[in-house]
Amino acid sequence: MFVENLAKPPVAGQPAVGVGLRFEHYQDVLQQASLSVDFLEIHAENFFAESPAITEFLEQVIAKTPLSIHGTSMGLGSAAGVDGQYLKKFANLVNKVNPIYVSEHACFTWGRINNSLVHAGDLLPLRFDKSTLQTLVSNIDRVQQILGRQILIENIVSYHRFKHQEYSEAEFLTQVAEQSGCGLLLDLNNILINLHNHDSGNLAEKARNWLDIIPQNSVGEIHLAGASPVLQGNLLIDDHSQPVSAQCWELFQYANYRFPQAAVLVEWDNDIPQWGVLLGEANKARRIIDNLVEVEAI
Amino acid sequence: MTNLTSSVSDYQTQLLQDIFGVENTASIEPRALQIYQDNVLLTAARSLSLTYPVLDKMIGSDALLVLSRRLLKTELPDSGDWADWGSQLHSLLEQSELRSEYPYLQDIARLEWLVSQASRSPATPFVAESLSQLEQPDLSQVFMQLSPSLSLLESEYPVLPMWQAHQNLAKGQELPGSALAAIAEMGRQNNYCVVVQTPVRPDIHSLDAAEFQWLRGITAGLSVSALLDTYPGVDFVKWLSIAIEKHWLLRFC
Repeated sequence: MFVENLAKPPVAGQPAVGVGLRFEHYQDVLQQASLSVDFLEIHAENFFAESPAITEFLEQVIAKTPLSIHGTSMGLGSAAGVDGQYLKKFANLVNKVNPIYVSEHACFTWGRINNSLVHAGDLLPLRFDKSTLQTLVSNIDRVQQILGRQILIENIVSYHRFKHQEYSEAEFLTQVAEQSGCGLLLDLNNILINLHNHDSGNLAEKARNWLDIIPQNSVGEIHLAGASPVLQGNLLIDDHSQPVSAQCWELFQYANYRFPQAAVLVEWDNDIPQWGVLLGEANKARRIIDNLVEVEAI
Repeated sequence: MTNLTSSVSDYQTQLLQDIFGVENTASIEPRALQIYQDNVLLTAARSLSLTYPVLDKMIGSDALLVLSRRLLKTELPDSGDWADWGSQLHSLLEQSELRSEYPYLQDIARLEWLVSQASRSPATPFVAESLSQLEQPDLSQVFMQLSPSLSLLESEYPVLPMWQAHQNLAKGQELPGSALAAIAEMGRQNNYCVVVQTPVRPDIHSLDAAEFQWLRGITAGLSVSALLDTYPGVDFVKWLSIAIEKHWLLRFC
């Protein structure tokens, strides 16, 4: 088990606020003398290549602001394990960037079909049972040993509702953190989407109850995002194509109260807006943290 | 595999088989499965559009989506990085209905894959000290090692001019008739090019037949002496200067 204190925020006493860095904003970031966010988050796999252009870009960005690395393919819950070649590339990137946070998802991606290794290309849902817990904890432990640091594990959207689970999602993640020594990355939008798709009643209250199960000292980062609206009865898709939703801002206010030291990141991955619009979303998060505005006024 | 994890493994294998259409095990409810299948297909199509940007411009997004669906049947992603997926698109194009009207598309795809691979490779500077190998009296014992990112392409079609002509076109914009005519005039003669990573970006360079065969001879492991004997028309000193300048050559050994 890897035990380490959660990553410290860049600004002492205040949670760091950042945004996801996507290709469409590379030039915006390079052209600005200073950034109004505390960190940028990159998707690991976009920077696996060892080309001179990527190396130069990373060096330029690191000179401006700290980076966090968010993996999207590691599949830590995979019974087949995490592919060694993938881990090698991931570790090389972590060594190159020295990120303030390293995070991944509670999902599976790897498997075998006809004895050949296959990657799902998506974040696939885990069953919340003891066997899966052991698999996930074992893989996290291996990765933390290889990286020599703690990683944060994020809750995902599941489009399938399992009928019989040994744990609720929040209980499962709590066990993962306790048994592996990892931290947690709470994606508030994912909590809300799962509740919308699979539950009924007062979803805001259920989302707060979800957060209440998570130990306060286990949360290192919070993700905020929006999703495209759907017709009634259809499943919401976690497409990260919209501004942070009103429900997500409301839940964030509570999450910030529960986990005041957790870093905050705004994700926007599709239909990507102007750089200034994305920064505006980060500023909203900062204002909530600073208690300058009530959520209702946003 | 332990008994403890076998049930986890069974569920995960079944879901992967369902998503990729290998089997239908009904591991999850149909509407959820549909979302995962749609996600994979759209991600695959987006990946191909990034790896094959000119092909995307030439055939359009709808056709690329169809090709993505077909390619997922024969080439499953296996690295965790979508940029590694899609190497067999040229084979798929060779067997597709597009071939009769656009027989050059498969070679455009081959070129774009080589460019993509080179663009993801590190640049490898020439090892200048290795030039001392040429001072050996017996050049049959001296060999050349090309850059690991270097690839060669031979085609019956003028794929490099076609590819270059599409670089600055917007998606959906067609080449002007005059440009198409100029490319067509080049005819169905053999066309050769070399793709290599440089310290700035990948470089794609047209070759004549002699240069192409010379480079192929190096990759086949011919010594400097054998190369000079086999391809007497190549000016070695002139070629060497170009090969170092263009980052084709890694070292003498």
